[in-house]
Amino acid sequence: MSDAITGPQGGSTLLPEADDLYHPHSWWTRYVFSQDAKVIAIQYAGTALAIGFVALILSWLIRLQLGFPGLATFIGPAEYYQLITMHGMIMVVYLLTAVFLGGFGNYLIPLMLGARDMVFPYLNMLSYWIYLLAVLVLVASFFAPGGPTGAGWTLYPPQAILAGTPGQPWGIVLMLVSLILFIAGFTMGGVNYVVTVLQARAPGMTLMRMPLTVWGIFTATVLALLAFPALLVGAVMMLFDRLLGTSFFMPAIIEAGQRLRYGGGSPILFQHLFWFFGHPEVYIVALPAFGIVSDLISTHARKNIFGYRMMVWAIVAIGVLSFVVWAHHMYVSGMNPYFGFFFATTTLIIAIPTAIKVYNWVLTLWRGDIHLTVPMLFAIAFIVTFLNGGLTGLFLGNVVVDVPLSDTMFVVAHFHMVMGVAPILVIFGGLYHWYPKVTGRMLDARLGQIHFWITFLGAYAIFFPMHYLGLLGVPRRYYETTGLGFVPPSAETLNAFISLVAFVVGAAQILFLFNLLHSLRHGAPAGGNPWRATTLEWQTPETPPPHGNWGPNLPVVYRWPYDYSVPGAPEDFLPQNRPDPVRAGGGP
Amino acid sequence: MSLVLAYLAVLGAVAARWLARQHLADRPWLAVGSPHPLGAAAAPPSPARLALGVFLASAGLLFSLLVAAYAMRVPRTALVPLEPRLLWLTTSLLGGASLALHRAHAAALRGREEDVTAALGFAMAAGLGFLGGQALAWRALWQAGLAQGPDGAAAFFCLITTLHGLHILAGLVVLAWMTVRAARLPRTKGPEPGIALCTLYWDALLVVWLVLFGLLFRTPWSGLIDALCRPG
Repeated sequence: MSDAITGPQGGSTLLPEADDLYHPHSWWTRYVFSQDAKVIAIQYAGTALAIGFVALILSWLIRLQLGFPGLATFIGPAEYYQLITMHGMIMVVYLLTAVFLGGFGNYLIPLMLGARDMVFPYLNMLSYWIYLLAVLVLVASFFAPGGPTGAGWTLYPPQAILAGTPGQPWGIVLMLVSLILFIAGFTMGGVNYVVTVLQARAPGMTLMRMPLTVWGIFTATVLALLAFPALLVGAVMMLFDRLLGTSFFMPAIIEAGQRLRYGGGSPILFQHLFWFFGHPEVYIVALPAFGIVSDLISTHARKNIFGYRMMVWAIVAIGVLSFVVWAHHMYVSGMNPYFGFFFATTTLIIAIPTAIKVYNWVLTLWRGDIHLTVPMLFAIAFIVTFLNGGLTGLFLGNVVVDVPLSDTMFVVAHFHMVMGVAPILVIFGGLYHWYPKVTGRMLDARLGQIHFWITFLGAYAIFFPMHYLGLLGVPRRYYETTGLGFVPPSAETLNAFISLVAFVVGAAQILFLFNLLHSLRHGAPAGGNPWRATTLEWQTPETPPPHGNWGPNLPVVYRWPYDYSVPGAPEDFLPQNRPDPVRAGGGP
Repeated sequence: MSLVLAYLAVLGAVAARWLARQHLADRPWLAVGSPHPLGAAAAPPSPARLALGVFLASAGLLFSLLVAAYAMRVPRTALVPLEPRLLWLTTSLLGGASLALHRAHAAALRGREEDVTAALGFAMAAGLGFLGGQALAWRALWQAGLAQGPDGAAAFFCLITTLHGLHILAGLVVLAWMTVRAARLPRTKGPEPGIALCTLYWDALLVVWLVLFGLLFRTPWSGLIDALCRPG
């Protein structure tokens, strides 16, 4: 039976009874073809981290070539382009999107909302297996004739499908098929997240009592459901061009004196489609990160989040605005200058809600009882890094500044800070924070701190100098800059330095991996709520939470998720499901 | 992309209307206490209906993007080089399938099981007929080598009918499953709720096809589609 219960403030919840859940009957249905969102979350995160490590190795090879050109003889120009393409695509889509939405989303949405599971568990399971298939198809391109595509992660036509571009025979086809599969899988998961948030909240869990993590993941999911169709359309059209000889994106081309069969297509059309997906994609990754960081900061500073309502409104506003800024990636495509003006304006406007969030994080920390735990270190590092990346974004959002900096290492440094390092810091922070709930054991804090400091300082040693390289005019996407008259020799030295640091930072991730695996058996027992946190996932009757999460009775929510250090309360936190009305304003 | 932005604006308006009812201006840090309903709430849609709505919103954007891409890529004067009689027939079949599903839904509400099965069977047959007709048109264009033409209209026809056809195909699979379930369901259980969802899905795909048909061929409503998709 499912009872539709009218929740507070006109909300509604759909609460399946424990008996109503699908129950696994064998080891296979419990751990492999599982319909439990928690298992699916671990599958998503495990797969994403595994493919992320592949991307890390690719980045090492990129840095090997840039820092020490000629040293790795197996990296030629074609291989270099393949490395940067696969690194970028894996990081953006198959790691970041998958970890935040598939990993954190699956684990945290039902638990934080007091639900037993996602509303459509079978669809959820299907979503993961299609994602895995997408990853396998992508990996298969490494072994296909001609190797993976080297078209750059933006896959711009016409060059993406023309002979001469690495991976033209099969790599680009497998990449496009993989993206289509990824989108199909995500759509199943995404619909599930939205319905679960809207209809499976525990009694008392109004939208304005949802933790910001859920708000971030929910809004990012809506964004993804509206942004991925653009990538899907672009991918299918390019597949038609590549396999069936149509000319959606292909203009008339003469290659080696021969007129190709293509003609009349518009490469700019692809850019519009790609960036209509590509810019919201930044926020698909960033919004869950914003939410998670908010919860980490509040919990580890023992203080309620500053400006909760503003934080919610800012998340929604950023989501809306992210759909009207896409063409700032196309300033140098020859667009009408008035369009450039419009998109520069919207880009600057989106900085307002983003800045509100940064101020609120800082004000939450202000006079808080800050515990410099490993998750907190990562959360604070995120704020600083996101601020840095955001500020350079303001540079690039202006047409007149963007034009000379376009296609230089400045852009690479900017998007790595804001879209690479910053969200990855949050992923680490989130993993250190919720690992005790997932496994029942703590990660080793000393190893965590070593991991943090190497990663954080290392990332700055890599990407700060890269801005300078960009200002010097060092171009991106160049296989080798040695001997170019406009690149000074000092840039070569700096490149070598960056590469050396990148090797160290990459290697430091092995520490994290070791910690993750070692603590599974040898970590200190965590108990149910080691961080003394307020949100519902920490209030489960058992840790790790069992199938169905809550035992016989679903939790009832009485308060918002940030009741820390409430005057008069017996402890410095009040869980959301604690009924005693002790705080000011609530009344006895 | 103006059509896409207009579509997003409509979705945004729906979302804003919903958000406006969610008390986003509340101060949750003050509102402590046991949950209690603050007045009668409208019955929420079933999870399946909501899920279908969310999916259709996403799929609608996909087709809006295709229309926007068509408007950007294909010259205003270009038309699909195909006699549209076959497409009129397939359009009728799709409309027929939609009507049949409405009939099945109505029959299910009245508990007339035989009518339900017959109407579902007709809807499936009409859906298959639609796909077959589209495939014939597809093949005709392809064999004539027109899909590789420089104006892109024929290529867009192939692309659009493929993506729309895949949605129809998925609908047919669900419909087949639904028909079997409806036949097996004990009468005491009441009407199969999936029929209403299939009807909604089919109606949505019919509307999408009518827009695409008006875009790709000269139809009485093509002027309206042009005005919406290619302003100026």
